[in-house]
Amino acid sequence: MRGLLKSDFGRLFKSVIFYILLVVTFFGSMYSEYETWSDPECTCVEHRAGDFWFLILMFVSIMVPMFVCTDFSCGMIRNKITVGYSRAKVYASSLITSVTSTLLIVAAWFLGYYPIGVAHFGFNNDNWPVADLVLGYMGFVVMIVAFTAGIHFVCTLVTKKALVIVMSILFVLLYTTFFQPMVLIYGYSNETITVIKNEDETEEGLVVTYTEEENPYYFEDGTPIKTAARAVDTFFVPGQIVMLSSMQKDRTSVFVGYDIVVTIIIVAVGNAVFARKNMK
Amino acid sequence: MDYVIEADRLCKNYGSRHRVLKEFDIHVPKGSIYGLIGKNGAGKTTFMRIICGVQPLTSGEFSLFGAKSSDTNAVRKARERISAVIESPSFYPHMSAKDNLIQQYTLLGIPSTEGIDELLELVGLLNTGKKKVKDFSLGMKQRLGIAMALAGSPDLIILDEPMNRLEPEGVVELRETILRLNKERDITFVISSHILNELSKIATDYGFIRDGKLIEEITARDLEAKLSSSSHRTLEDYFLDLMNR
Amino acid sequence: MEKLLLVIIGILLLVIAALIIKVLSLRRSIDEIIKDFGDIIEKETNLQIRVSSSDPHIRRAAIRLNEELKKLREVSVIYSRGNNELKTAIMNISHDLRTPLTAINGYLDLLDNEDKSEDAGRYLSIIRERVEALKSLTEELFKYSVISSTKDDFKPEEIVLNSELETTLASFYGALVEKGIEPEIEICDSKVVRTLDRKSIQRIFSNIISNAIKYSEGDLKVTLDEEGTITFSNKASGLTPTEVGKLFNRFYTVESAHHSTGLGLSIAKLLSEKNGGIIEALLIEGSLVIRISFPA
Repeated sequence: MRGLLKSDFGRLFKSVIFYILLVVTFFGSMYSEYETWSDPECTCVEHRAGDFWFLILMFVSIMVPMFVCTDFSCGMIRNKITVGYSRAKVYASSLITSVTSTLLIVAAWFLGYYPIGVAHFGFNNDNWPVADLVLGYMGFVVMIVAFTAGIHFVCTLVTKKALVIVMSILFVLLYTTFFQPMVLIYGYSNETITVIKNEDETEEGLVVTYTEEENPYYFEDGTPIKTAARAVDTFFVPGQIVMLSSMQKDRTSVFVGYDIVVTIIIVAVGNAVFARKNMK
Repeated sequence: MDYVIEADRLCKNYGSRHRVLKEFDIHVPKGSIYGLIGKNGAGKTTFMRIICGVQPLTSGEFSLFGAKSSDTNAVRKARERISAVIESPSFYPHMSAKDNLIQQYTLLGIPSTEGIDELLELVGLLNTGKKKVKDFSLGMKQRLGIAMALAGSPDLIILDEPMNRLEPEGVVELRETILRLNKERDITFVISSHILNELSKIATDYGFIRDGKLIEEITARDLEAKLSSSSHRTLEDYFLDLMNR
Repeated sequence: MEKLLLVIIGILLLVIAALIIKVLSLRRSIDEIIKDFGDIIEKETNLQIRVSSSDPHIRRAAIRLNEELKKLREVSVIYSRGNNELKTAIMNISHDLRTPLTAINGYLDLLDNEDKSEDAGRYLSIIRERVEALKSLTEELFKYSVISSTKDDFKPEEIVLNSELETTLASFYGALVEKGIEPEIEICDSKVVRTLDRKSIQRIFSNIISNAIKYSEGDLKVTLDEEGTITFSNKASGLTPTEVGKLFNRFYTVESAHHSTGLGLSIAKLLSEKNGGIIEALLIEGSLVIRISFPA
């Protein structure tokens, strides 16, 4: 196993893409935090996880396929098995390397903005106690690991690099821009929405009267659509991000547990699939 | 007789319809150069893949250096003694020949990188320097494949149609290399090929495969005797006749 | 102050942990090397020792061992190729010798029917005798080369050593009587069953018995005990310990004047070992004792 790990890690640390992504993450995270700092009106709850979270997901979507699928397309996976490594070890080694590369990118992101956070936003003081921060980050990290495991699994099924990259990026984009808003709307709308009824010009100025109207997107608790929307939001990446960034401590531990379970399932299934896979 | 590879009623199916190997038997003697001859799609490559563990078998069993396929750990250990170049050789295209060999050495856990230059010289790739493998010609790639296969000091090398993509000098060189390795290091070779002429110059044993079954297994000496006493004049005639019977 | 102390203790603990890990990993590497080395020496393989540690000392040890293993392997390959070629040559030559020998015998027969002087007749019978010796030597040579180079016809099965020994002795009854030997036979009552190739066992026993008959000074003792040890002993006053040591060597005969070949005992040794048994020749109080044992 040592030989496998050395070989895979050696390749990772020689790969240019990896270093580029590391650098981009570091400076990007620093910059984005700095921007937030310079914005006087920002209440900044959303920024706790940084705007970068979905970029990190995209980076993972690029990094892991480039690393894993190359093994498949060059026949090197075939080589590893021919020389006598068991399938489980080959799978484990490439998974460990993928996850490590992801964690290193997350570390770069963290290092980029934490110093500024300490300086400006008062991390470590009463408003942002360290324990909360750490728990939040742990949740975030575990979630990213689950996502990496998922991409890794897809790579073992679909071995064409370009295809996997496109698929994963599409998934991330689609989910955050297309499905996510819908999910929020169907899952969290209030019963009524406030609508402008009238706008009258009087001597005191513009008087606006409001009325409450029924919200067409509101569904009662327990209805399938609402439950489904809430479930999807809760259990998918963007929803978790929101939860984590609002630092609801009790929710965080649930998500950490959930993500760990999901990771274990994905790894077990992936290993089982890989064990019987016919390779060329 | 010591056999490096033995198969007993080996079957391989893709899905329930597509049966590639049907009750396949084979006996590869130690120290031999075994020529596996058959048409395209007869099952040669599939058989090699199964021995290497790249594809699982459907039923039947084989043994590799005495380790039975039912004992997965023993077979894995036995695989440490084999290498293969099946279809396209395996290497990282964006690295140089030397870097690829260094990767292979790391993978295998070989303690010293000293043998690498010797290996490159053996296959004639010593002067490629930093040239990336994706820029190599087909012949050079094939030669690198052989170098990678030799990296682990194997006792058995499996080659799938190695002469296909080589230029004539390449074929001669490969032939010489195989003979030399077989004689000096007692390495057993299993070579599948279409180019019967070349194979007949080096093979010590033959296995004829048709439609997933091994229809004949014969030593080179016995085959020679058969050829001289029958109406067939060349290996090709014999092969064609076998295939069309 | 306390914080500093804690930090120092923390660091020390880490250092200790790291050292423990290093020691354990070195031990594991050494075990790996020993295991690999043992495996490689046992099998005829090109494989070299592989290490998982990056420790330079461990690597150097492995490299050095690998160098020697490589040299050993090269010599071994040359030897076994040479040996095989020799065996094949012997097999072919001894096979080819049969033809001229048969022809010679044929012409000797013809010569026999011709008129000849007394001297000529004597010379003829001497020539015949020598030709017979040549023939049997060639036969033995051929059989020996065949045995040592192929594994055909080797079918281990459960056999009862008691009955095999008795049967073989019985088949030599005529020869024993002719030489005036009354063998002392002590075969244990309990059946000694082993999984061996029947033909090999018969051959081993015959070769040893016929050897004993040829050199016997009038006695022969055969024993079989419950542990599966068989001994054949006969007085051999002219035998020195050195000669006993060389008995199993190919082509060694004590007295070359007798019409025998030295291959009989060598074949017995080969076959015993092939069946997993041990055979040895000892000189005990002026008697030659050949002892074979087949472990259960």
